[in-house]
Amino acid sequence: MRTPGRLIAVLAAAVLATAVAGAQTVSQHEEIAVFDLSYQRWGVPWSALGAIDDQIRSVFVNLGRFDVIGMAYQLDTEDVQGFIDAITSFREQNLEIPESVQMGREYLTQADVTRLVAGFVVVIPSVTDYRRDWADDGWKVDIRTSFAFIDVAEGRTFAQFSIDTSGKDVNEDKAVREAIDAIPLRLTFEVRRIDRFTLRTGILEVHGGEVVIELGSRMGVKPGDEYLVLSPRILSSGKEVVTEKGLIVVRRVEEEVSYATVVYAHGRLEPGEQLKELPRVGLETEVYGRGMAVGTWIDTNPFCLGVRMTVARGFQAFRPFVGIELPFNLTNYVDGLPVNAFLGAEYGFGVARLRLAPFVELGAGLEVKFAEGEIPVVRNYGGAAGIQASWLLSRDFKLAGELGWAGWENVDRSTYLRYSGVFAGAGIVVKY
Amino acid sequence: MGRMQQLLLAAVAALAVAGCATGPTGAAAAPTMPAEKEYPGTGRDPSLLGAMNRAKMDAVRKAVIDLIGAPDEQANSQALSENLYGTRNPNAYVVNESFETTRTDRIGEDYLVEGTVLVRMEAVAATLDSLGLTGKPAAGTGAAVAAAAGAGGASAAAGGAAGAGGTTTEAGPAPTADEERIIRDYVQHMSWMVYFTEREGMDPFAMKAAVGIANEYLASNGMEAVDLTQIEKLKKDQQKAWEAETGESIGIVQWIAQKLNADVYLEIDGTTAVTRSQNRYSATASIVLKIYEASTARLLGSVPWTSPASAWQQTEVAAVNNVLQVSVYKAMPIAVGQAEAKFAQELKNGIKYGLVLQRTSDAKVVTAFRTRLKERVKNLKTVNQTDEETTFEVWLVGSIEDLADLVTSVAGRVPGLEGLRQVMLRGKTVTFTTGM
Repeated sequence: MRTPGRLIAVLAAAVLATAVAGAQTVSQHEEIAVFDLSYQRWGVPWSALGAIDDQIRSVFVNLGRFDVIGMAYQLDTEDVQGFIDAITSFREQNLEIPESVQMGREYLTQADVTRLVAGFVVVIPSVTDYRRDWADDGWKVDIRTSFAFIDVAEGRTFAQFSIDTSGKDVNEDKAVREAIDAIPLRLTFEVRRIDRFTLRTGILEVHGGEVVIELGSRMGVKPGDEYLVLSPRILSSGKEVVTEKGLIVVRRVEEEVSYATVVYAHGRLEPGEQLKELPRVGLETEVYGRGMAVGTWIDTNPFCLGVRMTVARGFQAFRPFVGIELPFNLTNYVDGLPVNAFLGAEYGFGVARLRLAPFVELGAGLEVKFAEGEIPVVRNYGGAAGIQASWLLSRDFKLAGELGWAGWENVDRSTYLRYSGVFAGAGIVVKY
Repeated sequence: MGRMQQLLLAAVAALAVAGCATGPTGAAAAPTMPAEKEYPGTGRDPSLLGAMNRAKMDAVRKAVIDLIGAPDEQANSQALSENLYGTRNPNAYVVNESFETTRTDRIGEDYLVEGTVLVRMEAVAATLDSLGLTGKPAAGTGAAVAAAAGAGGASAAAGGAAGAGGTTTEAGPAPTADEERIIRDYVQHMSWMVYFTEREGMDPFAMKAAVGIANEYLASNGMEAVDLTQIEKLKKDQQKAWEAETGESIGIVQWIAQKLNADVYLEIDGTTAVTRSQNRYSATASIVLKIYEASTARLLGSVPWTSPASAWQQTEVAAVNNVLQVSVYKAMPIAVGQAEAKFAQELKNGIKYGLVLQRTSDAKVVTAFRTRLKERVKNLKTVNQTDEETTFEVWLVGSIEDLADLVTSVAGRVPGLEGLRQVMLRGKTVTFTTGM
């Protein structure tokens, strides 16, 4: 670990190059070198820095779209420029003349050599803020990690962002760990959002409502990933505009290709259509209301307001979820605030914008009291099973309706907070 | 919708249509330019889709050449690469659903895709306008280009025959479909001979390597090329024969091209410059490819090409060879395109053949024969006439066999030539004896 040193000087001196990056219509692996984590504040535990470093490196390896290079030079170089020099020197010594040059079909200019030798990206991560405070009920740790991406051949910084994560626990180490563990999800999303790294591909084959697209697991494509179908055109001014023609969601991934379902499309899709990854964190959150058709021990039909979070990236048909719900019309009849927390899974299938998903959820009901010193008490347990139908309203929103059976049993088998029967509900789902 | 609204909409639509019809469409959009036009394209890329996209942009490049001409396209290649050919959205310039793959292959790690696609000419023209490349359809393109483009995959840059000098071809009647097919077939199968201009200071080995690259380009595009060793051998052994036969009235390269039955010959001329720094070498090359019709030495095309400076290499030979070979390889598609377009245009007036009649002591019979034959061919000229033999130059859209059949047929209707029979058919000349 080291302080920024020449890092800042390198960033400040980064010059915008005039060379135009070769536009690719289908994404290919980019070579990326991750510099050692630096920090700008003292007092960051060494163990935390090491853990953050590991998490960052694993994100770039696991994203699939990068060839991570230069690991051997991370520890030997004191500054970014030294790191870059070490990598370029190695590459220059091991430069392979492209076959097209050897066969007399392409020139080998100095610019080409530079591109071959320095054609990689350096990522410079640094912890720019680290705070730990004892709050009323435990340690709260906030970490801000910044990332700068340098195109070495062009000598310019083309992306920069910060990620704020936090953790809370009575144990300080656990709070730190929680904050660090939150980095990969955010970092993965932010990297995928950088235009240069957003996957671009196209449709190879169309089979009704299904399409085969180029790129698969070798480029880090995952089930649940969504791709926009692009419809580019040239205005009379010569300006290029790109509009969305449709949306597809990846269903199955193989090494080189993926199979996707057409969610919607304006017009018929044809082989050769251009696609662009729609980067999302990979979660769907539903806010819903659910009403029971039967009464409880007090003859009131429970009506719950709930929030359900489903993991969408990495899963397609089968998707796990977590949630909490509040049977709010029972609040007047219980000592505290009744809250049900549950885990579940769904298995979805559908056509176009419609998705039908049978689901099962299991959970525990807590009675939360707000008096000082009171801790939540588990009062009941239970779950629900049913089917959810959802309709995609727009790219990011879905309307959902559900029907099923739910049952909650009191832990001491009393009638208090016990209810079961058929329910119906509706909600709105946000995809992000 | 109320009636007033309907009327208003109709009026707006009519105005819009009128506006489209009369408004400026950009200088690049020639009045006759179709909204969409089909072009062939070839693309190579590690990704299958990338190769398809490159094939689309290759087709777009041909449309650009059609709009602004090959020389302008070449002169602005960097701007076009950055702003048009390098687009991330090739479908903006083509009708994607019209793309038809004619060939898909794996070459090493790459995919090779060949296909045809409708190019959106107005989109291409709009981009050219925005780049200040005010286009005009290149002269001498059109049908000739189409014929040449259809003739073979090699006509990657079938532009106008800019720089082509020689005799102006008179525009005759439009060729029939059958004649178009014959011309296309002829252009596709014409034989090429590539040689280099010997120049002091130029390493013959480097020039021979450049010829090798040109021949490799021709062969890989399905064209027939004469082997360099055959040329060298003739040049070395037949110097005296050339002098005796021609009296040096035609160049030895043209003479060799005729001897080897080449339809066209291409001369590579050029110089290289080498810079040395700290035991490393960088080179640049300036070359000119000139293509001639073998029978007349008429210039069919001329392509100047200058290379960028090569990267520093360890030997002078490596630096020179690289820039020279690549320059030839880059200029070849343009040269071939020019030659094919020009040749296809000229072939509309017939392919030139030699016709020899032996024993022609009866001048009246010969005149009657000539008059009848002239009605059946594109053109006919008498080169010489003696009692022993009469030599004609005949222009016909057809093969040499077609000419032989035609001569036999015509002779059958000329009294005194009933005994005509074929003596020899060699290259582009057919010889008969009248039996007089």
